[in-house]
Amino acid sequence: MLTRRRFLQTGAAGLATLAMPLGIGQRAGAAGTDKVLVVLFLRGGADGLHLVPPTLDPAYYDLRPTLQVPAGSELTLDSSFGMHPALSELHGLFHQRKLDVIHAIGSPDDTRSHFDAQDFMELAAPGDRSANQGWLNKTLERIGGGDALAGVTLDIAKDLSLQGPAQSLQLRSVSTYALQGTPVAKRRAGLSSLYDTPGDLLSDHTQEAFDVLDRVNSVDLVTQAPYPGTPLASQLAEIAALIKADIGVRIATTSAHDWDTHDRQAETAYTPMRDLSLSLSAFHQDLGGDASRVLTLVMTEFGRTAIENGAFGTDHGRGSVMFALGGGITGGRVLQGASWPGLDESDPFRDLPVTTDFRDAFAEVLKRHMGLNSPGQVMPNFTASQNRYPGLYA
Amino acid sequence: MRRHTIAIALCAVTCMAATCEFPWLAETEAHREHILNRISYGPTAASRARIEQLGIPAYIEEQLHPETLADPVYDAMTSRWPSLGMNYRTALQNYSGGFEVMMEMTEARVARAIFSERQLEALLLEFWFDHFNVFIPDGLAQWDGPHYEQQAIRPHVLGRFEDMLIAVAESPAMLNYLDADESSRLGMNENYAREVMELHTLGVEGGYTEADIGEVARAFTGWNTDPGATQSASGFLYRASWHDPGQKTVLGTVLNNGGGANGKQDGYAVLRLLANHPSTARFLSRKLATWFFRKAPPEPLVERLAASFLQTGGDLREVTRKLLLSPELRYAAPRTEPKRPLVFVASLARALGAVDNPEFIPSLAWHLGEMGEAPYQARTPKGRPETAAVWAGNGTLIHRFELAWWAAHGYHGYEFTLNETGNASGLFDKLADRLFASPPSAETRAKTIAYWQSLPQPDRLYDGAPQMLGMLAATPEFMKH
Repeated sequence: MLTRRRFLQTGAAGLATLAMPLGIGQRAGAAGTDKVLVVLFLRGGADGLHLVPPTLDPAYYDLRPTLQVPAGSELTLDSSFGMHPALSELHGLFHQRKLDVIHAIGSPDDTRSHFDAQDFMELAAPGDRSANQGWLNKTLERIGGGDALAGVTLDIAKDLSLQGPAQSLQLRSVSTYALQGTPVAKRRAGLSSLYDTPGDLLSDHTQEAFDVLDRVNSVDLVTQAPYPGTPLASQLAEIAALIKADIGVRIATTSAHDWDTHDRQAETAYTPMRDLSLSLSAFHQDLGGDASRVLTLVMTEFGRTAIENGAFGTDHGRGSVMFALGGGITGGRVLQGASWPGLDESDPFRDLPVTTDFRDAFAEVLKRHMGLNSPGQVMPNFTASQNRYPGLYA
Repeated sequence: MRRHTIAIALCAVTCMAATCEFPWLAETEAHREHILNRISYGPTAASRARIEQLGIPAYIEEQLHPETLADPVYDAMTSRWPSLGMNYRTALQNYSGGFEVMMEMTEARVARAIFSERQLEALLLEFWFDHFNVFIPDGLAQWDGPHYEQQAIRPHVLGRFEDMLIAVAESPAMLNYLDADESSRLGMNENYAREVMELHTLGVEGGYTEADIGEVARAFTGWNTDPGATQSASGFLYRASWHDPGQKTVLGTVLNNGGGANGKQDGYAVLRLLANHPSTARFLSRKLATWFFRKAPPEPLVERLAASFLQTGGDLREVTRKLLLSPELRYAAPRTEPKRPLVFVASLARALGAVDNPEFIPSLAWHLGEMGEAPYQARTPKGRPETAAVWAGNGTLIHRFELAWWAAHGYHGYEFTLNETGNASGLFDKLADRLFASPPSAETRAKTIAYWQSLPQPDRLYDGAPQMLGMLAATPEFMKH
């Protein structure tokens, strides 16, 4: 794993200078053909019943007197489901067969803690507080080829899903990722010699950062799509730029916030939904010809109670939705396990039960899109089975 | 090299009983430097002299009593941030919201880290604010933020935990952030009820159930806000008609305060129950220790702290004292944990003896954002992590190197004198003496000097000291504490 790091060792006391850029030409894999997985995490528990209302279920209308998308005003997906009108761009992508919805998806663990549920999902280890390697980090061990740029989080800290022994990168922003100093090559060589202890956290991260600096700085940040002016949009725009530059990115993660809609959900969920629809559709357009090799999974830690709370909002629930965009999926379907589970009458909050384990979706994507032979291996105590795949590629 | 002393004699003369719990502890200059690194935002010439004069136990005791420490430099700066002294109503009358108040709080936090003599209190204030995190630039926290931090939290960081928990629960910033103000007997909102147990007190494994969450939510119905501050200057308002008067059972304890004004007592009963629960003692002790160890602390120490918490009724001064005086902390390996961005920024300014100017603080605040630690902008109620590793991501390290470079070249408002000259090794030694009590490793010295000697001659001649300093501030020794 530290092979290229050896290359950086610069002789006695770092005296040697590094004349050639370090990263260029060292990427494994062919140009522009590698499959890429983008994971967008909606933090806070996005309400699947609000995003994709089950028009087939009378209980939905009974339980959501103020929050329902009134029958007839939803954007039709099929005879059983609609989409919230704020998601009009995603609705378009659905009918262009670029987007699938997996409904009633969630975790077999019933925690309603945001932080446990997010961790369990990013570790693909429901209920297991001892797990500590992210599912995407384990994936990188199998496909990353030791390149730190193979896995990237666009955020202020690396997502847990990417944390672990396999090298990966955390970028607050591509545009500000640059080393200062005059002459900069000397400074980089000096820093490189100071941080050359394998296994030391700062050394590892410094070498990862330097390994990829030239490649990241070569990225053209001009976008080809009408992104909204939001943090999510700029994160996705930078991910698109990294992918289009074809510098070795295989997995990219980022997050959107404000999905914990405990109060006045009709208003408070509108802005993040609009942002999601505009940003994702711009991202898809921006990718252009690369879109078919880029699968974007949009997930959340749990859904929300079908019953409205006293504040015209909803509290933490169970099942929600996952979106899959691009990447050669079949598209245009609402996938929901064997059948629609209904809004659980035995549950005081009338939660949406979980009919698809999120790990089954992960497994299908890893197998069919990323080409892993044994996707179950990246998820602790889990056996993958094609019989349980939600069917994105069916 | 400063003189090494053994502190036993001094300790016997000056310290209180509790500080003499471990009179056999060795005290060397290295231990003093380590303690300063962990209980302040980095050593200064003055703090090194002070801890050498007092010895570690008495120095810690002094820091445990911030009210006795004069703080002229920081105090003189506070007139720039009038919101800091305001309650909710006054802030509402004077600020239009958005980022206005947050920018004042941000500058004050950075200024405290660099200039306040009450270093331990400033660190604890950050810890407890994070523990009770609210997102400042949104909701009622846009105006309640200063009062929330300075009045609900700060007076209690070395007081009783129960008092802090109650003051937080009575704050519009928290009631609004976690939607308690949306909860009534006609429609419950469980958000605050869940987090007060999961995050503020018991911890997620603390032994409560979903049913307890529902009962706690009922107990807090009526605990509400007065957004316009027409009836309440603090913005906290108990609305008796919103309260669910029925009996509740929380963690097996029955609450029967009925309705009307007395219904408010349900909330206080829950907070007292939670504040003094053994799960709370253990959860808070581990978290506080993690903040100072910068990684998972030794469990026997956590158990001692939890026992102290319960014995003293949640006396945070006593728990903090036991933690800071513990052999485990004193003997924890020094310079091993990456500094948080604010500690990195402040420790460099402190080591260089930087002086205040109006450009300085806002510039550093911007840099903290680039390094991923924008103050008061953590969105979730969990706040920021206590452990060090998360702040050393490979993307943020680039910005640390950047800051070290610019700071050494006098940009970003750092004002300090840097008239050192000399050959490579002479320059290194002079500058290392400003940054460290004891020199960095021979390896670091050799590599830093080699870097300097590799520079073109004009850079060595005209930019020699900043070049050397920019690299020294980026060494592993200075990145860690």
